[in-house]
Amino acid sequence: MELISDFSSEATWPVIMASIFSVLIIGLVVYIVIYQHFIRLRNARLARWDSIAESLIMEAIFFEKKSTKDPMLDALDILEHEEVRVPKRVDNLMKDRAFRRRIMDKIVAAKRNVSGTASENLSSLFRKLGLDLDILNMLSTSVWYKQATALELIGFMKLASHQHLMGQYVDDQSGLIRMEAQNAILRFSGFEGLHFLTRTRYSLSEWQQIKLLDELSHLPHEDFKGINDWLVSENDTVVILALKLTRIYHRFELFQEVLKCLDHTNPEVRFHAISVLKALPNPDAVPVLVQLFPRETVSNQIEILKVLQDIASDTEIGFLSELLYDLEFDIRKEATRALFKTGPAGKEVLSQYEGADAYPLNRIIAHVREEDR
Amino acid sequence: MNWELIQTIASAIFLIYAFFLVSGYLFIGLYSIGGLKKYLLKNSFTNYRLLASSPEAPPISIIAPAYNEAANIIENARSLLSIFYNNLEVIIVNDGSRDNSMELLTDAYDLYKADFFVNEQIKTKEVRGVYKSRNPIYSKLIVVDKVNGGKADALNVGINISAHKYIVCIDVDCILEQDSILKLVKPFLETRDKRVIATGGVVRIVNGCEVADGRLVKVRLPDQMLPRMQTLEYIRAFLLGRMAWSRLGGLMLISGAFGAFDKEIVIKCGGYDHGTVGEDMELLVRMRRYMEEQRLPYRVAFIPDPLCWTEAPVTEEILSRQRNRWTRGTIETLYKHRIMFLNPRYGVIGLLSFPYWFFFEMMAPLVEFGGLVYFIVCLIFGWADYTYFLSLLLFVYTFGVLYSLFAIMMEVKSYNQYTSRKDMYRLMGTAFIEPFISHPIGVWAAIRGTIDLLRKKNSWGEMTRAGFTKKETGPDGVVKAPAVPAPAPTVIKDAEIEEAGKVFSSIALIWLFILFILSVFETTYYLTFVNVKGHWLKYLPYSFVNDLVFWAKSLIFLFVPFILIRFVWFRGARIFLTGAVALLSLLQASLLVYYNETGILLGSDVFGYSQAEIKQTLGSSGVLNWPVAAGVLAFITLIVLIVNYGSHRIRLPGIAAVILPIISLWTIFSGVITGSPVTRFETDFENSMVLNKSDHFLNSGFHYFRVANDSGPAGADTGPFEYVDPGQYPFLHKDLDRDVLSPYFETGGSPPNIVILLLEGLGSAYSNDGAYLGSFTPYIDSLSKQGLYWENFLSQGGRTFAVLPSVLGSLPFGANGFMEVEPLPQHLSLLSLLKYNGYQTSFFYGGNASFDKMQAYLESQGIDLIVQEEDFPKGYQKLPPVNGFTWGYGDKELFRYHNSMKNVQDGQRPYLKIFLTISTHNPFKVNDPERYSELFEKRLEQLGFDEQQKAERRQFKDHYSSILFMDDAVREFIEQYRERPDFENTIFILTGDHRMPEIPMNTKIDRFHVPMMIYSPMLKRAERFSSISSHNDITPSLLSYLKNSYSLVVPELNTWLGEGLDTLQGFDQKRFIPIMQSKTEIRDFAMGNYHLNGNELFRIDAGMEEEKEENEQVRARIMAKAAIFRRRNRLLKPGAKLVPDSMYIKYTGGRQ
Repeated sequence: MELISDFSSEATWPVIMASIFSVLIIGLVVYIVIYQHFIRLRNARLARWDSIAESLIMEAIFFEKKSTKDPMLDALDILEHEEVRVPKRVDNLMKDRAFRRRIMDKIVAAKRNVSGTASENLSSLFRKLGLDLDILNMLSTSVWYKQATALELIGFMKLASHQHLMGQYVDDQSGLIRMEAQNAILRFSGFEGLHFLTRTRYSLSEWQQIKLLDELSHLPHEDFKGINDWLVSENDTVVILALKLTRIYHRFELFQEVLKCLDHTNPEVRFHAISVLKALPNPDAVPVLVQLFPRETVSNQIEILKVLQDIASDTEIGFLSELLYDLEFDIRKEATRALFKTGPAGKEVLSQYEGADAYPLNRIIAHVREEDR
Repeated sequence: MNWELIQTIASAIFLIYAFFLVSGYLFIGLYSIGGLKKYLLKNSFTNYRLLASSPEAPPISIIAPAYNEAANIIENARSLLSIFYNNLEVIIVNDGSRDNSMELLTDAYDLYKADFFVNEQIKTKEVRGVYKSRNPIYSKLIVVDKVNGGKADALNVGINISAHKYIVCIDVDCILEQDSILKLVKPFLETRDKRVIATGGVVRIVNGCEVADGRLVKVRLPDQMLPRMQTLEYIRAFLLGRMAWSRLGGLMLISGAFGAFDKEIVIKCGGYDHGTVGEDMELLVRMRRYMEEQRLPYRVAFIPDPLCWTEAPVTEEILSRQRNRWTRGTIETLYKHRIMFLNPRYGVIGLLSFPYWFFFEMMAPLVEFGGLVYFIVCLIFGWADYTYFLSLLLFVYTFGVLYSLFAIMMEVKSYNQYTSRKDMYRLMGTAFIEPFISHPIGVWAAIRGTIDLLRKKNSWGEMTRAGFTKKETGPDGVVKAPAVPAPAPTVIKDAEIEEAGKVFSSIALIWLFILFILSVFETTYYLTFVNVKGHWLKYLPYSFVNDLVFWAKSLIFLFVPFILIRFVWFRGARIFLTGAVALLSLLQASLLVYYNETGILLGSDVFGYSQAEIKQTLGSSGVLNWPVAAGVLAFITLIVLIVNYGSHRIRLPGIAAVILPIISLWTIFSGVITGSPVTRFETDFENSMVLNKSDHFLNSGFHYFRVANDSGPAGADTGPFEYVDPGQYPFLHKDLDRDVLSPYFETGGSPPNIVILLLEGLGSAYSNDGAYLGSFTPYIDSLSKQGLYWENFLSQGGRTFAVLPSVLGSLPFGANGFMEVEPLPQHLSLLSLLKYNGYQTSFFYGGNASFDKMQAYLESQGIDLIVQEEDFPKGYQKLPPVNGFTWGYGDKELFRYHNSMKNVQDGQRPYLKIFLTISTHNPFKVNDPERYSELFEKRLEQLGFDEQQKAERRQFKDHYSSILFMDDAVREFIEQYRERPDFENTIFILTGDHRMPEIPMNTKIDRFHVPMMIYSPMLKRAERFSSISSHNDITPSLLSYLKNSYSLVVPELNTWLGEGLDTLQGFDQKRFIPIMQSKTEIRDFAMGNYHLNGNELFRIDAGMEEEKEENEQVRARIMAKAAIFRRRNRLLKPGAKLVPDSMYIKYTGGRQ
């Protein structure tokens, strides 16, 4: 009894814990072995399925509708009789959820690499296999990543019948759902889809802005409307996106609105507004920028000088020369660049400048001169 | 100093630390799951190609410092230039390489020295030149040539030169995944509410992988063991640790091998600190500190994807050096930013991350090392509790393995990089062996790192860098610059590690083989020569199983030192193992011989004897001689040859070296450690015969040292005694005053003389009525019929050491027998109390009375006279010597000398005489052996034995002859005493000190079953008692009798363990009788009609036969009682006082 009591008081708990750990160790080893085995089996099965799916997808990509020679029927686009035939084997496999998911992924992957009729055929196959219903099921769950996946696929597969569902998600509190919904809506509505910007409550991350701009880059250029409204949005990120749109699509007519943005309280917005002026070269911007310069942050000052490198004239040589004394070496460097860009007069000023032979200006001038070569 | 308190505090500190460490790891492991899952789901929506090609993606600068990288610099530069990213510049900083890196780059990329203005926002060493390519294809390449200043300085130069907002710092020799840069940059674009100041990704080990053109083609596990272990370590650190800390918002480290930073914040913080060897950790901590102090919302992001593959150290030397630097880097960083420690101003990092790094990263190796030192100290001072230590070790080990396997599972569930079965099995196997191989390297390197740092504490921040070297990044990727030349321990190559595993497994197998052979030999011997009935198959399977268990247990104790020695000296490990197996084999063989000689298993009792006593015992048994020494030498040589020969021919796979220690630990902790002997066979001898003798010996020793260190409250006693002050005097109680002897004696006259004959080895198995071996003591038998005889009487010990304290003092045992407690506890006894009442006291012994410290004990009781071997005059013959050793004078000579002494008693005072005989001790050689051989044969006839019975007895002819000799001596003594005038007023007490174990025993209780009789002319009648009493009962009864019949003054309080002799005639008893078999084991307790031996319970019948009993209730009751007794017994420490000073002084005069 003493042995037992001693053991329980001192040595038993580590032994009990070690026993529990040992059981867990055995369990984990068994689990890992079985799991990897299962993965191998699954991969083998997926390889078989891939071959079936790919053959169906290839058939869909190269499928051509037979002309009915009846313009009326062509116009009605009655596809029921002219869709890719789904083999029985695939039909049977479609009962398996894993296969459905696999073929869905394969169609999506294939669609990323094709366009035109082939792309439409894949969307058609997608619907014919009933995968759009799977998407709807995913959308109806409360799991964020399933909803996001559904929204991504609705847009990507252009499942127009579900377009109306997008609206409720573009301002969803989940960032991912919101992002996929916004991207999807652009796929359906093109630039028109950007109108969600007017009412969005949430910030647009830089990543989302890149995605939206990428989506738009695939659409035919349009003289879309709304940018002027977004440039005065209370949402700073919307203003920034609007400035990017102005820059990318060279919306010269918005020059004045952009200038107004130079007075924005957020230095980041002002930074983008400054950089837009590079894309909208206009001499009227020069005095505004020169006037703005002393009040700006260092990074914005550098950006102003970069813009001035493109639009400044001899008039600004005096302003730029003064900056050669600036405490920030980067400002001196950009000012030197700007002077170089103004032409011979600017270069002359630099060569005559007191201190041009001394560090750091001598090094900066040499640096800029080499760039100019 | 209170060592127990120190021990308790130290143990508590280690326990609390272990608790928090394990809890921390558990939390990290579990908390990382959610983070990883969320990342993987979110990541599935990211199209990284978009980021690579988008003109809106932020421009980035990749900075790759290089030092002496000529071998791969061109390939590495090409790899960096091939990174697909729209807006990118690649800055390679040549940190003053001594090789031709610059020339190679210049030629390969057609470089020219450009006029380049370097805005030195961070102070650096001199930049010798900035180079650009004339080829427009390489327009994004910038090569910087600078004076050597270390990695931090090179990175700072890159930062000064970089043109872009975000910088990516990368080791030039790293191999990047396809989308690495994109994944690293994306977090900067995702968050708007918090500024992302840095991002880091997972670094993995590239050793073993297929790499082509600077790209990873196929992931494989390294073939070499050290890199493989680091692979596992990286998986653990990145997938669990970093992920969890990132999720908590407390990440303090981004690997120096690959990380991205917000340049503006880096510059504001002053860039990398070249005054530390942990610049990457230091920079991130400084950036976080800056953001916290500026109250700016920020985030440090972590990408769990494997982004960067780096080569791991393959030798112990480089690994040690790396870990040494990591430690120094950590300590430097924590010291530099100590203001953040537990400072709520710094939020999660101050309250969680910083303390975690301090306690569990920086302190962990120190605590672990401290724990080891503490254990060694405990070992040296005998404080070590092996069970506790081993169970803690097992706990920590299993947790470590579990944590590693959990990390592997996370890897399999997320990225599943190691898809081949072989790789996965090896990776899992690595989890089991890593704690024994790379972990000790890490701990030792950390200790060295700490020492190195402390030595240079005055030059904090002034360390110089020699540059950085390749292949030295890690999960913590602290540094690459060998700031302090690290020691160069022996390099252990992977092949050597594999070989070591094979050597261990092979020798372990041979060790098992040797055990089996010894068992076969032993069994054959007993079947052939000792008339053990049966055949091989009856005994050998049991022997083999017991050998197997012992073998398994022994492996871990061989494995750990083997591994430790291997790190220092490869060949030394083999020599150690061979030597250890040889010594263990010798131990086993010696214990077999001992068992054969004595019939008992040698246990921890050997630890209770002094060196001189062991020498005397061994000497007298005749084993200390040159032929035996030569035999031992030959045996060891043979074992060494077998091991050497066999280990070169038997080759087990290296993995066996992993499995065997695990089996060993399992065997130890599955309860076999306290395994009890099988009770399958009829006789105890057979049961003990099949046991592994070494296992019994070492187990016994283990318990001896464990129990020796065990402490606890005395506990309550439920006995008949009324204790008066159990806290101070745990044994002091009121006298029961049970005078059971008076009714049997004629009363009157002066107090009687008392003569106590303690007869060596006299057991009831061969004495008196009921002797199942037949009685060989005809005279003593006759005495018993004339006196009071207790037929079921128990000795208090299995050896002689217990007889004096129990018979004379009814005393507890202490740790190793009462007489071994030094200084002896202050107590009273029959000796001191009779002396107080005017008795003369004397002790007669034919041997050396200092044996078992009898002399010291008797002198402490103020004995008047001790007669021992050295006092015998000429004319007395000692017992026949064996190999020159003899115990001294035989019983006849002892009594003869006593009878010749005229001054033993003055005739005025009553006396107490105690005789202890020795003739019946091993080696059982008596004077005039022929006569007693004849008597033996006659006795066989008298007893009416058949031939078989005679043959059985003849195997122990010497033993029985010595008993007859002793009986004859007693006869002569008593008969001569009859002639004396004082005979009429003398009480003789005769009892055995224990049963002779050399003659095989039938039962466990047999060892203690001895005759006890009181013979005296004063007796009114003879009587026979069947109830059980023990030696402890003699003094209480005698004193009560003398007090009541002769008005002797005895204290009202005493410390007797015994309640007094039981004079019930029927077999019945309710007493609790503790018994100490050997000097170290109190494993026998009699209570009621039961006997508890270890954990085994036996029912005793009226003939003192016993059978195993499965009554759990009774067992529990006795065990509870035993536990209380043990606890109280442990209070009997050196210098303890059993009785108060006042009482002691009164009855002894204050004698010490």
